[in-house]
Amino acid sequence: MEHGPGRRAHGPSGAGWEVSREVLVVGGGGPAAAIAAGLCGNVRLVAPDAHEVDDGFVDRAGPRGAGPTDGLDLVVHALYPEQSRIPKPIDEMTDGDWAAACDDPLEAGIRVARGAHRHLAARRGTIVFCVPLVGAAGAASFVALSALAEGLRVLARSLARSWGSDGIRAHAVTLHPSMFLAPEHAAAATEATALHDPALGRPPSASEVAAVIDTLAGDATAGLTGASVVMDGGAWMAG
Amino acid sequence: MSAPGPPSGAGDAVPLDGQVAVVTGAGQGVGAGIASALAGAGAAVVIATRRAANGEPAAESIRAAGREAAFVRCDVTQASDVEATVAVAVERFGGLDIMVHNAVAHAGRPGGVHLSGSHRIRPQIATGTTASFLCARASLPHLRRRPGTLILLTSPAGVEGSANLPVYATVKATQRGIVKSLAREWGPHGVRVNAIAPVARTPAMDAAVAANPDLETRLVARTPLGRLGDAAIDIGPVAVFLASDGARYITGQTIVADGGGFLGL
Repeated sequence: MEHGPGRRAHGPSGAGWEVSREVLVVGGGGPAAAIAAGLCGNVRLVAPDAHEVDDGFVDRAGPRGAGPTDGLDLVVHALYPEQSRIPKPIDEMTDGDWAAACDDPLEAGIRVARGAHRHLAARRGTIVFCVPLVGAAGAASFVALSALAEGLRVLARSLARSWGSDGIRAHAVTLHPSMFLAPEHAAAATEATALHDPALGRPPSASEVAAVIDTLAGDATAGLTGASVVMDGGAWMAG
Repeated sequence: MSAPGPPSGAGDAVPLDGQVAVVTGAGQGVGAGIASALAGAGAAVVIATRRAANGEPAAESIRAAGREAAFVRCDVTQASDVEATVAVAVERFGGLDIMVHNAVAHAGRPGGVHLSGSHRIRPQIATGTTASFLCARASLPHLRRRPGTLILLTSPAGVEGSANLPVYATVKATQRGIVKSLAREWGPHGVRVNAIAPVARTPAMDAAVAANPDLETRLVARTPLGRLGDAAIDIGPVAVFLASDGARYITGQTIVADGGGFLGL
């Protein structure tokens, strides 16, 4: 599935980005579309099935005709299949349930990163993984989603370490579970995570998340990489 | 610097007397060290490895020390193998109290994620992440009866990431996510779930040091205790403690056993 590019020329705090800023959002089944709508630049949203993501996926999904000299300024990953967002105790999960909920999207995330490298290196860009807080905090009946989220959160740190010398920055933005789950599951996840109520009284909006991602990809944070920014309205506050 | 001997009196303690453990990847390295320590603490141990060539000798060395052990050929990526291994523990020794998943796939040549072998991604996920799920699912019915404990072997890299082993670090992080969520899910059953993040001499590390002689110097330099861990006497006792009644109120945690090199938790 593909959505047409959005074009917003302005950035946070008067960053003044040009519309030539190329952004790829890989995601579905969560806040990806809403976040993509709030990002600045020429934003392309793709929502593949996890099985469709191979090492050439970014080449095909990026700007048309993309090559090493075209590249990408920002890649945002938020690909969470439906199977990962449905609560299920581990003893009720089949092998296929686990693969669909965790292993397949985890491999897809790694392959998005592999394919993104040359495009990001060409523009000294940034990759951001949006992950649900269930991974860092733990949540009963969301074990597969927790494994997926923690894996991607630490993948961002590994990328930051190995790609810093290429001028590429990598971050994770850890979001309130309710942003990834259907309303009927969100309350269960919050309870299963034993989260406090958000200090701000609400989780962040997708546009607020987009603004933080834009900031993480901007010049004002050029000295920042490997960050794990928790955006949950002040519910967890544990790291 | 050589590793110190076991703590005084440790050889007489049998805090796991009468208990039954399964340890995957216990043919060598950290898994063998944990299996030896659990057996030394009184547990009957099932050595679950793919290869009889190292699994059977590991079991025999435990039996030679007067403890109970059995070898089971087990590919941890296959549900049927994991279930059969648990069944052997139950049938031969009467139940299952301690499930330790330690097996790990070869990570391949060090390098950035864009440089690592494409064919090595899924096997690492299967051996670390998928197998953690399989071990958990297969052991739960028996762990609930005791109640027992599940221990996953992770790594400091699963917290701080790794420039040269990014897929390995990712997989180790997934195991920390599993531990935290399973601790919440299984707590009401009285089943505890924890992780150990060791740094110890293993055949894999010895091979890496042989290929890169500076590696050991660099690792020791970042270790406050000034040496690499020994699998049997530095890591094994951590597993014994987590399985023992002394850890009855500890769940969802990662115990870093690396001589103080990683202090990020």
